[in-house]
Amino acid sequence: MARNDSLEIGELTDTSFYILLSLVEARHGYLIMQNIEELTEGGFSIGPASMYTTIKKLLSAGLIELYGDGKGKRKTYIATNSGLQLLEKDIQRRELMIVHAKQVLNQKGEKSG
Amino acid sequence: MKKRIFRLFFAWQDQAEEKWLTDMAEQGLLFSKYQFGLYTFHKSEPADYVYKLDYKASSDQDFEEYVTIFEDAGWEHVDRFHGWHYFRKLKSISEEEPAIYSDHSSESQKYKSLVNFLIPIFLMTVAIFLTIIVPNSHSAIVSIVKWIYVFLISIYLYAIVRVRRKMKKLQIK
Repeated sequence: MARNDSLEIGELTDTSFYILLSLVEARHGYLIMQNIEELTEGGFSIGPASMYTTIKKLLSAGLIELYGDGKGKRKTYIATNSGLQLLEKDIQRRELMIVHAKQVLNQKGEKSG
Repeated sequence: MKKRIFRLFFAWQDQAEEKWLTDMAEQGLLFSKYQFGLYTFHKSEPADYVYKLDYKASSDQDFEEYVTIFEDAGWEHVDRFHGWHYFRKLKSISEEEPAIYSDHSSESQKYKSLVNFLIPIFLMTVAIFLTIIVPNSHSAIVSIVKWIYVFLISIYLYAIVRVRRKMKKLQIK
């Protein structure tokens, strides 16, 4: 496994963040895509190959699981408990990043202002 | 009307192959089938199709799910050859060049599974070469086969190096 594999170090890429977030409720691939586009007003969209690859990756990491009988051509998934925990952790990480950025930019604003 | 063209693209030339198929569609040759270097095209009006190649190494059990995710996003599955899958989508005026991968992390995964497929074949070729070909290479026929194997081993090794380089490049982006 590559060292920079984000899941290995317990971080979510933007793509896996939005997919996991969408799977707080049970959804299949197409609904995940629609949900993300609605949520971000079209600002973030995921290509089908990235969607498939990321779903399989989250699945094998135990962060999401198959929902229902798994029959039919569209498979429905839902976040597992450890998926929700990692999502929470990643939200905190991202919040902290914003706090840091604001600190730096506010200081810069005070100096120049 | 059908037209068949023989052309070789190596494992690391997937983007060149995509571009070639897209250019052919612009000239009215719509790609429909691939087998061992032989491309089948159908003659039609010039079309604004974008062709993309994906590599899927995993089992075929979820093939339907895989294709459906692409179809739901407006892509058509054209053909497959071993782990390679050919998709196409009509270019719309508003949309920028449609892509099947939207982030580097998942795209590097494509090349990672390709490397994982190439390495065992490479090792098997080396094993056959060392255990069967080399000990028997005093006969004339086997010595020709020997050179074919040397060529194959070099190609596989080169392919692994090139595909790995693509994978690494995407990982550090």
